[in-house]
Amino acid sequence: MSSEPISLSDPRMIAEFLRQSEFKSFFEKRFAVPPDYAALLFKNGQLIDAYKGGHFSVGGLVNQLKGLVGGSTHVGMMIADLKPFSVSTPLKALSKDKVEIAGAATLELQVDPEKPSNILGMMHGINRGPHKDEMPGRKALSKDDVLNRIRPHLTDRVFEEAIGRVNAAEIRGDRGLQDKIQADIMTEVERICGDIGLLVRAVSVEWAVNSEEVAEMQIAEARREQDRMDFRLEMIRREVERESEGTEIIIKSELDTAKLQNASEDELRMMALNSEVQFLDAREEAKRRQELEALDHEIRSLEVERDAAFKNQIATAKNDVDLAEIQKRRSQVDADIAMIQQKQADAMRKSGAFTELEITTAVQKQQADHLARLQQLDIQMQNAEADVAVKMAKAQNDHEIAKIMAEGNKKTNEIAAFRNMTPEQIMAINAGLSSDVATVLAEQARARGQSSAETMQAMRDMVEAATAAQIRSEEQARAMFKMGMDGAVGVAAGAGGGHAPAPSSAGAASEAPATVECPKCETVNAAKAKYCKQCGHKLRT
Amino acid sequence: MMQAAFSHVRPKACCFRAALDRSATFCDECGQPILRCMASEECGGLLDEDGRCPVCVAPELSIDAGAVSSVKVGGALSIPLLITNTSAVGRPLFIKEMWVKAPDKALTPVDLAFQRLASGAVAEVSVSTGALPTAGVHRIEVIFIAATRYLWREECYAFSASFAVDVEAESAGSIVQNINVSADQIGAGMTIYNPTRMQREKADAPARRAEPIVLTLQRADSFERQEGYRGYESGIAVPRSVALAWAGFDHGQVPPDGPIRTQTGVLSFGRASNAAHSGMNDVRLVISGPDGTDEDASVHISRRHFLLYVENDRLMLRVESQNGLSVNGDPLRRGETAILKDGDVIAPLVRRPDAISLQVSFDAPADEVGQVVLRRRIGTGRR
Repeated sequence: MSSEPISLSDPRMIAEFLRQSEFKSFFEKRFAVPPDYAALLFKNGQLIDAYKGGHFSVGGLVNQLKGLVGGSTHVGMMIADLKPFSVSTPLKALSKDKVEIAGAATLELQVDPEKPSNILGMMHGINRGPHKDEMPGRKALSKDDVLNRIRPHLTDRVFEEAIGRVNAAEIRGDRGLQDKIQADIMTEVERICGDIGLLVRAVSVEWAVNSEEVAEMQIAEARREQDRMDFRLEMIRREVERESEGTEIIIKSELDTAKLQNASEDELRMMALNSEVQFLDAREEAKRRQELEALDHEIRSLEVERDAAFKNQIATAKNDVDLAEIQKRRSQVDADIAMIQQKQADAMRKSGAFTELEITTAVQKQQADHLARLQQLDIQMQNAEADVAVKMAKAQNDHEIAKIMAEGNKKTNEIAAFRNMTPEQIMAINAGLSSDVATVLAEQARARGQSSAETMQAMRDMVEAATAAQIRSEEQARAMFKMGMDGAVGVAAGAGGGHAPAPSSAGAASEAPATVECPKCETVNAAKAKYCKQCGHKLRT
Repeated sequence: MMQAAFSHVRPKACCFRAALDRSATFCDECGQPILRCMASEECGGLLDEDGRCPVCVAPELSIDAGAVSSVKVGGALSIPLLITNTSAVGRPLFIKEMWVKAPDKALTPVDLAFQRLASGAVAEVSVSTGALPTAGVHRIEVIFIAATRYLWREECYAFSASFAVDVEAESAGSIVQNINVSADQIGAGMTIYNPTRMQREKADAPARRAEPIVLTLQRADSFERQEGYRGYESGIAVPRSVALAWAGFDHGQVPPDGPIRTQTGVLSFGRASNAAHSGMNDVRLVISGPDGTDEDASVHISRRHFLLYVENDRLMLRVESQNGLSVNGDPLRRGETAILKDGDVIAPLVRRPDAISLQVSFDAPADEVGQVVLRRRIGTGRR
């Protein structure tokens, strides 16, 4: 059997009761409520349940008979459109700068799909009382009903309040303001009819043009007109300028054309040749310039080279000249000396006061003097050398003396140190052992000896032993001492020298046995062991 | 000569103290055998009652933070897991295999890109549940095989952990939820078929775990046996604490009956003298008769011929001799290992198997072998 879809009788409706007469028929009827509708079922005025969509089977003779048997039951059904719908309301308010603002607010509303049963609250209840006029129950709820119900709450509380905060010129395009209005409307609607199942999904306001904006628009229009006129003026000015320039060019070019037209054939050829000559000249000139530049470069590099070579030659020549001059001056001096000597000898000879012999003697004497001076120089040198040798020897001696003195000082210090030492230590140190070892050995010797003679004897033995064993450090000496002491004490105890103290090494027999042997596997276990650690045999009961 | 098998119990504090003495094989306080881990040189651990060294094999499995734990019907969940090796002494752990099991589905192997997990290392693994076709709360089980290795030996253990995932039914609207409202409820004359209840659609995102959740690991012992990781195919197992009984040996050539007492848990067999005579072997293996040792015949037995130990709840043999040996006639070469079963015969001399042989027999009252008897037979091949 096909189902009959149920829908609202008018698209302006949101919710509507279905007339019971629709359900009544002889045969069973099937109805389908689409899923975007909520169906509310009532029985005897009580809401039974709410369904989103559904499929109903109603009526029929059998069910009517059942109804007769079971008593009269009133069944009602309401359907509500769950789709969002939009309503629009005009608004009017004063802005901050006291300009009247007009606009239209569009509200996107929806019956709360979570609690559509609350839509009943919008319908002034569903029970129709006996006095219809007094309690006008509504059979349907339209979208306008909803808007009429919430509009009075919005004008002053929302629109006036929100718009009064801003200037008229700033309202347009202010999304912050739109958001505020939306939020306020949501709050208001929630407060008014949130509990009766109405949701505000979105609110937007379209603003009418206000007087402030009109004024601004007029100003802007006037400004634009002015700009337009300025622009035109500028265009005209430029046009005029261009025209005057263009005229000049036209005139010039017209002149040139006239000249060409007037020129004869020969003149034209002449002009062509001229330009060719000019061109060739230019090429030649460029070529020559290049050649000249190359030549110039060569000349300059040659100049530099020559200059450098010349300077070098001059320097060499100068050196040679200097040397030659020195040589020359020397030979001059030699010649002068010889001449003077000759002159002197001549003078002597001339004077006749001197015999040849005397002259010879004088010359010889001069030569001897010369020799003597040379010898003198030699001696001086030898003296200087000897001086150096003497000084070195002295330094050597000083060094030796200092060494001897240091040795002496050391000895003195040692003696001073020995003064604080025992004879045993001195003995050990003299035997070449270190003072640390000596101290240890002296301690041992004193510990061993009864009298000083015994001490000295013990010390002598130990020094010998230490020297033989090449004891170098305190630890070694102490180790040797320890061995000696244990041995000595042990020997003393063995000789009946009294009760021996417990040896320093750990782990020796005590009175109670510390271990026990396993009777099964003969493993030695600790005495406290309850089981043998090798075979697990129980050692104690 | 029946030696009572030792039932291995969890080592007590006294056992750990007694184990400090490396020569000890029994606790001198409680008398329990000290069963050391094969790697006790490194870890110093004692085997737990389930034959596992808790020092070497200490895996930890956790669900990583951010894991989604709920899914719509028909969807699949991918769960990020973290495997951590919490071994405190630096022993590596080897994750050999891993499976995931969703309800009513077979085990699905997980691809592991790694095997070795150093001490303290954390590995990330992602397991997928596959499509979950029915709504409700399902338990997803994860099983993995963790192994510890020392020298040539390897012990494998299976662990399992499970966690619940919530599979949600599809939201109202697409799948019809049938609610039959009887005529009595709403009044005579009206019956409602399959109406759809007004339901609030769940808009919130799938539930996510805020922090890693450590999963409780359970030893999967039956899985180990079923999949052949531990024990024998027949279902029996040779525990590490199994008692060995010696038969047919000369006096002084074998250790006392009872569990393997060497520190490494390995018994060495060979011609060289045994530990009782300060030798290198635990069992002296020679061909001998009433008139003493036949040195000429015994010379073919290597000084150290083979090793016997318990691994993965099986009695194992490893050949050390250059000449090899045979088990039930199958020759084995040096370095090869064999699983010894009840009734196996070890012939140390491959060419003259009759000269000397060892027969292995298990005494298994239940599924656990209590005693292994090793009987030496000197046969006709003796010269």
